[in-house]
Amino acid sequence: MPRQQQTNIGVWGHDAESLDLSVIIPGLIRRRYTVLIPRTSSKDGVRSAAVDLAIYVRSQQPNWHVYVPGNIHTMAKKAARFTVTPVGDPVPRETHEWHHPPERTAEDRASALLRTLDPDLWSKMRGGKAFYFTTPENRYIIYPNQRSLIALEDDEPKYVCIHSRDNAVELNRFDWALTMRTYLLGDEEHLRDTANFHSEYHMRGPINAHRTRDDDASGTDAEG
Amino acid sequence: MPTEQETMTLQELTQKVDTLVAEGTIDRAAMRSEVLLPTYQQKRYAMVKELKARAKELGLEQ
Repeated sequence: MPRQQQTNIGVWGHDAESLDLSVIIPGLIRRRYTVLIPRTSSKDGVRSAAVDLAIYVRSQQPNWHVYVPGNIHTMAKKAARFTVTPVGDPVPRETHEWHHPPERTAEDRASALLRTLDPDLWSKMRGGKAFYFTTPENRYIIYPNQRSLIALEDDEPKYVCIHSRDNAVELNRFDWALTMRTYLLGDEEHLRDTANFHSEYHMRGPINAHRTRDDDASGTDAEG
Repeated sequence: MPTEQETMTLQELTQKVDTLVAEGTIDRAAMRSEVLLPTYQQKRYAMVKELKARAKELGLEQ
């Protein structure tokens, strides 16, 4: 017999009018059950909606014990006061986020935009490890942490030297990725005509793609 | 991780639970007391009450 597992109902801001009472049942396919209640719901209103949700989810998920925290009306009051979570945003993990929702920085906004446009590129940029980026014509390696683009040309890899007047593009990896993606997929020819392709390159940070065993042995660095 | 979402209005949820009650699948009052966890104050109150009863039993109550 499957083991009984336990989870609680939480409260989040949904929009200007509603609160979102939800419970998430983990699994290979996660299920999220949500009931939307008015932000102005009374203490009893919040509690009875949560109890009904728990009853319904228990009937749907017999292996899960769903509970309603006794102070759910307090949680709802705080959520109603502080948070409006746009639809589709990830659920905050910690309850303290309800009290102090983190301020969205420029990087957060660029990240959200890239995530909407290209979730695969977003997850790779977020992960930080170098990855291949292929256009219909060419292949590149992108180093997310260094915000560097390496063109895998027929003769040898070349560092694509691009500088932007927009400081955000220089410093913010998601802004940088949005710009590179736009050029590479939108007007790759223009990028290849205007950027400089360097044979000897060093990237932002300590990575030197031309470092050889001889350099390591002699302690020299091909950078700079 | 893929997520399946089921979003309901309050009326839809109430109807669904009413149906379960009508089918005799659940006892709403019993379920209510089962799913609703006590608050911290309620737990504390119950504990104090229990301790007082125990003290009275042992003749320690002043």
